[in-house]
Amino acid sequence: MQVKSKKKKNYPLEGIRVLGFTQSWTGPFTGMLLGDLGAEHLRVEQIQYAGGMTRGVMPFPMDDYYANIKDGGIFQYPDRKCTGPNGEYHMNRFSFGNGHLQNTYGFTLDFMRPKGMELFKKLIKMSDIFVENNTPTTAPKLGLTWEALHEINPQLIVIRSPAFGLTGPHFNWKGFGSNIEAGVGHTHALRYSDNEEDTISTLETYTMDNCGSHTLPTAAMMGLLQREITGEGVLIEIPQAEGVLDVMPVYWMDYFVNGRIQPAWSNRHPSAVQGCYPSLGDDPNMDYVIITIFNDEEWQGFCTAIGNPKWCQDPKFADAVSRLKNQDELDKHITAWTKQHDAYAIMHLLQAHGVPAGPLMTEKMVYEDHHVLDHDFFIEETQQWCGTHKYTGYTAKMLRTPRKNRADMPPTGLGQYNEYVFKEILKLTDAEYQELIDEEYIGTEMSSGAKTIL
Amino acid sequence: MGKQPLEGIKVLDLTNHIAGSYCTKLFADYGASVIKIEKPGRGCLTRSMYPYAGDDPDPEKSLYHLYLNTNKKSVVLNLKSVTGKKILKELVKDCDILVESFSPKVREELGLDFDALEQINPKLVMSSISNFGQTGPYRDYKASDLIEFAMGGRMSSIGKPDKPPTNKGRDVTLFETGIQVWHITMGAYMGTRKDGIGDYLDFSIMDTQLAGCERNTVQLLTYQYTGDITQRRDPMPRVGIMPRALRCKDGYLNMGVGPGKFSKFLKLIGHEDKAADPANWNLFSFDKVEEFNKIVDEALMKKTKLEWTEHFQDNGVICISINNAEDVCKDVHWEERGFFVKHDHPVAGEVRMPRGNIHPDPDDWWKLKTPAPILGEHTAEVLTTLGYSKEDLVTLKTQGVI
Repeated sequence: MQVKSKKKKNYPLEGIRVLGFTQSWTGPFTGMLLGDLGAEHLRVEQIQYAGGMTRGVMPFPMDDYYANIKDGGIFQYPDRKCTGPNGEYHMNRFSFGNGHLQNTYGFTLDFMRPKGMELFKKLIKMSDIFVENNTPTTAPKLGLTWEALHEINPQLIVIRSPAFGLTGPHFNWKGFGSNIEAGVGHTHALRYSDNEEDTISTLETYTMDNCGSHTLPTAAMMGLLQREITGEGVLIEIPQAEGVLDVMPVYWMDYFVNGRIQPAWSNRHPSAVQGCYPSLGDDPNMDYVIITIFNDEEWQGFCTAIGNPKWCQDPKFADAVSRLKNQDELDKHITAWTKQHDAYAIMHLLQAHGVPAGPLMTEKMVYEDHHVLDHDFFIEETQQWCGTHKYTGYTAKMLRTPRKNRADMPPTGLGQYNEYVFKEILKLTDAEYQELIDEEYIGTEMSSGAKTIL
Repeated sequence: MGKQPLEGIKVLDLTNHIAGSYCTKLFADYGASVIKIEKPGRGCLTRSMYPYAGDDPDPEKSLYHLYLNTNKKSVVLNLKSVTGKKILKELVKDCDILVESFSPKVREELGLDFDALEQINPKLVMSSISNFGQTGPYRDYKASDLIEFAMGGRMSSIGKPDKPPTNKGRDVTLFETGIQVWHITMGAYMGTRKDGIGDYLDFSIMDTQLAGCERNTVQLLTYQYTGDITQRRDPMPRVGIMPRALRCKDGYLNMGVGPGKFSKFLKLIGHEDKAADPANWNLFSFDKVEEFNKIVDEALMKKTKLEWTEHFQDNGVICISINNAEDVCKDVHWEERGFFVKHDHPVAGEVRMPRGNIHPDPDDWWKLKTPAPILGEHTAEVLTTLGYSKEDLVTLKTQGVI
């Protein structure tokens, strides 16, 4: 859309300070997204514990192990080398953490010792939003209950996002994404078929992370709106498991209303011909194209596009009802055709005939895709420990509202902003700051006796 | 009763599918006043989606509609007619946020250009949702939930290595987009309410997939760091000799047992002797794998998945059962939290659906004030507030505008 705009706007959350007491995914993402909108996101870590695997599975990883991992995933380092060629610190090079630590002031502090907790409480006093996504007992054990936080700072908005909530019989159940999404029915929903051996597939995308990461910042904004009226902070609980339940409503409503457990859809659709069909290429694991034929018009378009072979005229495929009834057979015909063509070529051909289709995209295809390039989606960021790479961009193009450029604040290193936090915000003297380093309250590398929490 | 946080915000809902309707539902459920504009006759497409209450394909009974349009008002308006366009402009004048999900071409044909609408209402925040955005080579391409999932780069790593990749929960991709639109639209609104300057937001569903906050983000980065593509993996990978999923009496358990908890696991399944002998029985005792499989099978078949989950969790071992919809709907945890709320719909009857997941203390932000509206239920009410008389409404109806 061509809109000329000379109107200048400020960051929507200018002047808001977020204190992140977060592990992985939802917590750090929330801070980063609030940071995008202009908030100042401070995120605490300890040099005594490698928490949540965000900066590494182990505090002292072995190079050999990662050199041999060549199937991608979330645990990796640039060039598969933990430590960089010039000794760049491994914790600042981990892909998992670096995927969501932009627009973040990373600092370290040993809050387990009283002097550390005193300093942390000073930051609590100076913040607007406190975010944590630990198990329900972690923060209270440290004395960071709602009552305590509210007493320190009555205007503080406190967001707690445990797995199952702060109350209820399973409130203290622990689990990773795969365990939690199993418990709330998502794992079962994505089975290939109702056969026993198809009960379980891998789930390498966790809906609860994406839902939580966008729900928490919105809840924080609602907290800010309420605070303008009441003058007071608020405690907000956002169970991660409920985030999954909210985006699969029909699975539960169908059971409650119709007593039905939804069948295994996999790539099929209840009212359209739909599938993931193999296409021509040299990687049989990844060469697939998705086609969805919703109605008669699209069916006609499909038949025309592929040159109206004889089987297209078969009465078994003549109308919407018959096509769905005979989809097993129809899929064989479609597959025989898709196998002879490149997935992109299929997309362009079918779309030209008004038929929804698109290739299965690998990471490589995403980065090279003309449309993605045209949108200038990725952000080139130079991070001092990793060099220059393209990181994922923002949700939506905004005409006027500015967002903090993540390239100006690439993934934060461990304790990278210690000076900023302790000297500029907390006004410690050089001597006091040095004392924190000497006593290992703060640091930019893990202390020699560091442990993993998990 | 406390004030809902979005009370006073006026949203005009011109969406026709899941992502947009979910976004405006979230606005409505937390207090915004939302007017949904629907096409005469068929209404919003969410009304014609499987499944239906009682399997009766009535536009008031689609479960998608019943969930996605709670707390909204329904106004039927023919946006293609000159009079319909005029009424829409009157509604735009008085709203804070407009969310639409027409294809870019149709949006243009309907005259829904931000620069034109901004003339009517300078503080308007307008969010457009489309398959691939308002610009770029795929702008006018069609898509489905599955195509977006595949093109957003997420699908390639889901499933089994020896099979094609597979979709996740049906339409979850589109629901996730709805949350993202809600979040970013709120972000723009937070600025606009201060400076009075409107904004236009262009959401491509494919881009929202790419910008989603989960593993895909990191897998894309791993590719940047190494050139490696994330492959589909064995869904039952063993850590040492311990599988991730175990069969029990009535289903499967999803385990999270590391080296530190292995002995405890043995103890909890009744093999205290082996638990006490970590030299011979540990996570990496590969010579024992067959015997291990056997004792695990025998032990686990004695109890149900819920019994095992409780037993392991109570004793500090990570385990959650792989639940189906029935398990979830009967889970005492959600029961006790009052998560699935019941209400009566005038046509569909009694409906139960999930409530919102944001719980302030006191928990009074999320409210189910009115069920999903009957098609056109609020046309007269809303048009009356714009100054149309009873006679005018008759004329509009006769002309096919409403």
